[in-house]
Parts: sequence; structure tokens; C-alpha cells
Amino acid sequence: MNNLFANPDDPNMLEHIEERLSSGRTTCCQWNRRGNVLAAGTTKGTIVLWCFDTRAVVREFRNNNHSEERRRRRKENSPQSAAVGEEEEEEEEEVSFPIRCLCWRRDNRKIAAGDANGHVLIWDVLTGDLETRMTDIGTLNNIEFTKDFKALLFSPAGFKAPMFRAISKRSGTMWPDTVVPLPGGSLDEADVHGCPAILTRSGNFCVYATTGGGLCVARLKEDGEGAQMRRGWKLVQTIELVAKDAKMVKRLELSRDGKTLLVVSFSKCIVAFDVVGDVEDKKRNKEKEDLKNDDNNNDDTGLETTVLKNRRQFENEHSQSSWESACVAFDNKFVYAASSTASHEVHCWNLKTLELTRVLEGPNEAKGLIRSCYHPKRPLMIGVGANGIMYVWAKVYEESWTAFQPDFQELKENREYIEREDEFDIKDEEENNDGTRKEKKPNVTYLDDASSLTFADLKLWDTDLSAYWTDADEDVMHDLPVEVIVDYELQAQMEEKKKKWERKQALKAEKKKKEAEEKETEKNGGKGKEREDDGDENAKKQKMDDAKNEGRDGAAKMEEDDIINDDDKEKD
Amino acid sequence: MMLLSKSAPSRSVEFDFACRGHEKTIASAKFSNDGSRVASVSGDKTCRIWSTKTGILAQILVGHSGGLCDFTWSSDDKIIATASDDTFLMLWDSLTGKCIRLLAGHECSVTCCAFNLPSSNVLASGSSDETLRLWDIKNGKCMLIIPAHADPISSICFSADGSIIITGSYDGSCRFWDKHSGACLKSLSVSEDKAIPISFLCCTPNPSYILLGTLSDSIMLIDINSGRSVKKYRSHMNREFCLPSSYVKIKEAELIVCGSENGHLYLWDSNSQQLLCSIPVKRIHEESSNLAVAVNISRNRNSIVSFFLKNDIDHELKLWRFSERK
Repeated sequence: MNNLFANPDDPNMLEHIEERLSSGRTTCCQWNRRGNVLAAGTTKGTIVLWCFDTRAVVREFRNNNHSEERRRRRKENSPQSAAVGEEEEEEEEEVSFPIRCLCWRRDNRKIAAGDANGHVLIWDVLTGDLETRMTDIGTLNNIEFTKDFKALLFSPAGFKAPMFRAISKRSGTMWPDTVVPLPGGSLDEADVHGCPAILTRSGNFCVYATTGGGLCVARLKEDGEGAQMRRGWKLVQTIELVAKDAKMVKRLELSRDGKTLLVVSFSKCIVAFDVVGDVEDKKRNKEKEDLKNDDNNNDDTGLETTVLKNRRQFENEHSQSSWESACVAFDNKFVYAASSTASHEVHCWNLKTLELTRVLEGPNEAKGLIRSCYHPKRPLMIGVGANGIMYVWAKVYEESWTAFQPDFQELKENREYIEREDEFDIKDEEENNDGTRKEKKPNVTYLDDASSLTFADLKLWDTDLSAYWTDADEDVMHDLPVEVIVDYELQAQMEEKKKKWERKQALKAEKKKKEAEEKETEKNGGKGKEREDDGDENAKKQKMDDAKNEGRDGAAKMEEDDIINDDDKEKD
Repeated sequence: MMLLSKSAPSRSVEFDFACRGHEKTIASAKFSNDGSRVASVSGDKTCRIWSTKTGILAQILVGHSGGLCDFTWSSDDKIIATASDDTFLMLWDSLTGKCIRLLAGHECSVTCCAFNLPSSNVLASGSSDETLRLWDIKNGKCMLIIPAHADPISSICFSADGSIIITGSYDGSCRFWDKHSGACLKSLSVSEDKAIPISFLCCTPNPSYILLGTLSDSIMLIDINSGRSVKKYRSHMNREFCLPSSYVKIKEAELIVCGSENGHLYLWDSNSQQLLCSIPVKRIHEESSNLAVAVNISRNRNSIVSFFLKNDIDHELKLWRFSERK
């Protein structure tokens, strides 16, 4: 919603490091859908969730389910046994390996990660439980959920191609272990990096690199219906990435809107493609309905065979090393990239003109950037330094003084103020009201101004947030419940205070009771004006009921009068 | 009793019951988001939570050393944040009634507070010290201090997506703030001479509009995009107190509800801006008076809570409900 007030001409270019975030050594990170939570994988094998609102750690997921359970059980038995906790942490360190890659499920409810020991781990975001653990997969380059959430796409090191694997046994029939198809006669030489692979936004296409430096696109094939449906992949496009010295592709990055693909390789340029024909199922179904008349539609309708188009290159002639990380800005205006070995330099290209617009220099201690991750809604980028610290690159925020007062005017330069001859003269009000002499005020509308009032139908209950969130209609978990740290010392103090207060109230009530009794004997049954609670729980409840009934009787009478009066009016 | 709209079936407002216990004037009363409870804060330094079904007092929150001005429910209704004259804000567990945290920092009495819905991880508070402060709910730390206005802040709310904070002040201006940077995004003034204080503002379910009350007998619906008022509701009396206004949807009719300083509560049709009716909120023991009535509405249960501001005798909450007449 803050975009409402944004200046449309603002290029939204990143300018400086706003903050450093660190909790352990970060190896990779990823924003959730709306960018309010950042998940960071660490060298200790944990996933740390950062709340973007408060810039604080809100959750930490560990990679050891058993110890998690044990800790919980022990917590229940003895809530404050720190010694036990420490012991376990040591235990955990033994079995944990650095997280290599992670991803959010599209609905933000699960996080999947691959660690250096070849495990694939899936956590439930809400409970923090480690739900799935697959072993002996191999070190992963990247990981991703398929569109039905039932399988994972990953590319293990030393394996010739990316593969899909069902998450649970039950979905195994739908998702038999599949390797994406490779172009004929292709390479079975293994590689340490694994071949990066990525699913397009709709999940219907898989883009992956081959060890020879080629880029392939496969389309999802769905045979059969319902539970019988089996998934397969059909190769639809191959592209040769011609690179001089090194052909290996390191990473594939998709922009937030899914329309731009960046290819980071060992060569000195970053290659970008437009992703076309990637229609989401929802929209395609709609189109299909529109085209119902055509009987001969097979499953090829609406699916293009050329997915990647319009190849472009971003490079810096003066830069020596190859790129490690790249990302597209949230508004698709710029491409940012950095290398991991050189110093902390973020290169910024204009996505349309391919022009290198700026090189942002970071602190020396950070060395290079191993990952970069652009915020989905704001001009803000997380750069993960080779030192494991997350650097928050953002715009320099400038105070806009015109925003403070509607009649303020922004001047580009200082202007010498020329005093009118009669400006500070004492004059009669009437003379000053001469319109021609008054300083021209900027055109300001005040809320009191009745000219903007309208009789048009405005819907107050229009809860459609689609202008602000494109995912408002989906079942997405956007917010983590807040876990407030209780200040027990304060709580104890307040309990004391409350007890004192209750005692006081009881005394007061007793006094009033006596007074009331006295009055009652005097006046024979006058109602006390007010009743107080006393400490005793039962008496309190009874009194509340009394009060309630009394209130109801009294007011009901009034109501009856009203009804009669109003009814008369209605008849008129 | 009254006809709300000619097209909609006639409905009436009926008195349900009264909740008693406060010893001093009630400053604010609001329904929980699920409508099952209503809480009230008062000058007697307590916050009380009542059940809307039975009217039974569920919890008393005791701990502040000054009178309470305002409070707010978190989106899951588990936490209540109270703002007090003792310059502190406190977080409470609404189910157990236990104090969770103390938020210290304001230099004068805290006049208003609001959670960022729906995540409720940030609390914004406005104070007589003219600053707006943002608090991290998890650890109680003050994240941001913004010298926001030239007079006490009277009202505060978050935009529907939680990214903007909107403040209204006695200096007659309403300002929009970016939650992350604290930058002022926009400022709206009621009138040119800045003499009309803003007493209340709240978001509506439609993210484009906010409801804003001023101490010049008017409530306005403001279009955020254009920064102009699009609807105006008049005929009630509001010169002195910060009376909250509220909105309710009954079948297809969208209504604006507000109390008044003449002991009545007023209902308008939100689109035609016409006054539909005014209902006297009577006291039991005395004839209706010129007391200021403040109201609030439970949006999912269609019930109203009303109370009198600034008086010595009547410290009770009255619950009303919209009911269909046959």
C-alpha cells in the first residue's frame, strides 16, 4: 500500500547498506511470498526466520527432530533447565551440516532445504517440526516444490540431470522418481556442482542447465485423471549457451513476476531470457472454457514450444571474476549481480537498456556475495556475504518535507526571498484581502472542502485487496503467529499488585454493603446506586447476574416506551 | 422502532444487557475480533473483559498506575495492549488476565494504540508527547520514534495491508507514515486554519477509504488515493470528546454509527450520507441527559456497545444488538 504514495519516476535503485543481519553464518536465504519473512539457512544446519517488520529472528528450525521432541518433553517436565539445553545443542552440532539451498512452498506453509550431507529436509513453518527427511540424495544446488506440492525438484551434485522425487510414499505413484529428459547424445559426465534447475511460475515448465553449458526447457505432461494421474516431462526447447572459457551454469534465477530468467554461469556475462507462454493453470482453464467449441483441443492448447526468447547479456568489461549471484528488482527495472571472490561490489544494470548503471561498493570485510535475494515488494535486496552476514541493501531514505504539510512546496534550489514593500507593514485586514497582492498559495485541498463529496455508491465492504496483493485469493499463510517473550519478573509484580488491589476492593465493597444495609433499613428497600465486585468469585458472579437482570428490566421498560413512540412515527 | 433503509427489511436496535463494575469513567470499549468478548478500559486503572453472551466479567487487568485511555485487541484476540496515563503501554494475555510485558518510553500519557493487522507483531502508539512509537511485540523493544505532530495524537490505525500507519492529531492534520522507514508519506489537513482537531480515525474494510472524525460535529470518509473527503456525516454533536465512529453492514445496507454529546447514538447510511435515526441511550436511574455517548460495533455479530464519557454516576457498558423485526 505504500506504493500508493511512491513517486512513479523514482528509479528505486539501491544505494546503501541499511543493516547487517546475522544469526550464525548464513549460507543462503529466501523471502516468502509477500516479503514479510526471510528464511536463512546457516552453516549449523538450521533455518532462521527473520521478521522483516521487526528485523528480528522469530523462529529457528533445527535439523534434528528427535532432539526437538526430547527438548519439548524436557521442557514440560522442568521448564528452566538450561544445562540440559546446552548439552543437546552440542549433540546437534555433531549431526548438522550446512544448509546449501532452501525454498518456501508457494503457500508459505513449508520450507524445504538441502544440506551438505545430502539430506533433504522439510519443515512445517507454523509448528517448526521437521516433517520429512530424505537421506542420501547428494549435495544439492537448488530445491523447489512442484506446483501440486507433492514432489520436489532438485539437482544433486555428481548427478547428470535434475530430478523429481515425491515427498511422501503415497504421492509416489503420481510422481515416480523422474529425471528430466536430456537432449539426445548428451553428456553423462558427472559434475560437482549439479545442474541448476528451476520451475517457471506456473509450474508447467522446468528450465535446467546441462553439464555441457546448454539450457533445456521441459514441459509437464499429465497422463490420466485424479489419483491415477502420472506426471512426466517432455523436452520442448534447447538452447546452446555459447561461452568462451567456462560453460558451466551456476545458478538460474527467475524474477518475481516469472517473466525474466537470469542465467549465472562461469562466463563473464549474465544471460537473460524472457519467459513467454508461461500461463498459470487458473488462467489457462479460463481460456479453455472460452475455447470450448473447439473439439480437437489436445493438451497442447495454450502451451508454447518456445518458452525462452529474447536472449540478452549483462556484463562489465572491467570486471575480472565470474558472477556468483544475480537477481531482478521487484519492479523489473534493474538487474543486480555480484561475484563471490572479488570485493563486495554489486553491479546494477538497467534491464531494458542493458546498460551498466552503477556499481555499489560494500564493506571490505564482506568479501564477495554468495547469494542475493530481492524483496518482492520493496526496493531492497539481501546480499549474503561470503562471511555469512546478510547485508540489507536499500535506498537512502530522504525526508520529503512536502509530505508533512499539504501547503508545503518543494524547491529545487534555494531562492532568495524578496520582501514585498508592504509585507511587514501594519495594515487593515480589508486592504490585505486584496487578492492580487497575496502570495500565491499552492493548490491545496482540505478535508473540509465539500466540493469533493459524492453521492456515488462506494462500497465500504469491498475487501478486495487485489490492488495490493496479487495472491489475495490463494490459501497462503502470510503471517506467523507472534510468540511474545513473557516478562516473568513483571508478571509476578503485577500479580502482587492485583492481589493488593483485590483486597482493597473487598474492603471497599464491605463498607458499601454496610452503608447500603443501613440505608435500606432507613428507606425500606431502595436500590443501591452502584454495586461493587468483591473478591469472592461466586458472590461476584451472582452480583453480575443481578446487575444484568436489573439493567435489562430497567432498560427494557425504556425500550417499550421508545417502541411505542417510534411506531407512531413510522405510521405517520 | 426505526427504519434503517427502505430497501432492506426494517431492523431495530434492541437493548441487550449492561456490564457493570468500573468505578470511574470508561474511556474506551471494543469488541474482540471474533465478537465473543468485549473489553473496556477506564479511569479506575483497570481493563475489564466481559463475555458478550452472558455479560459475565471474565478478567480484570490490574497493574497500571494511571487511568487507561485506550486499548486494542491483537488479530487473534489473545493479546490486549493497554495505553495509560502513566506513560506506559502494557501487553496482557486476554485469556489468563496476566501481564506479559511493559512498554516504556513515552514521556506523556499514551492516548491511542493499534496493532498492525493481520500479523499483530508491531504495536503503534500515539501519545500526548506528540510522538508516534512502534514497538516490537515479541521483545517489547521500541523500534521507531517519530515526532509526528505538533499536538497530542488522538487516534492511530494501520492500513489494511499493515504497511502504513495513519495518525490523527489535535493539530488538525492526519498523516501517513511508512512503517519501515518512518517516512512521512502524506499529510491531510482538515481546514486551512488548522483549528479543527481530528478526534478519531479508523480503516474501513475497503483499503481505499478511512473514516475520520473531527471536533466540528462531522465524520468524513476519506479517499486515500486522492486525499479528499468523499462522504460527510453530520447532525450529531461532537465538540469536546474523541468519540469513536464505526461502520456496520446489515444485509446490503452499509451504515456509519457514532455516539454524540447529547446522549444519543446516530446511524447514517454510508452512501446517501443521510441520517437514518438517532437513539437515546438512557440511564436507568435518571432521565436522559446531555452526556457524551461513545459506541463501538462488533462487525460480525452486529452488536453495539455504548458507554458514557466523563460522568460521575454511570460507569457501565450497555450492549445493544441489531435485530430483525417481523
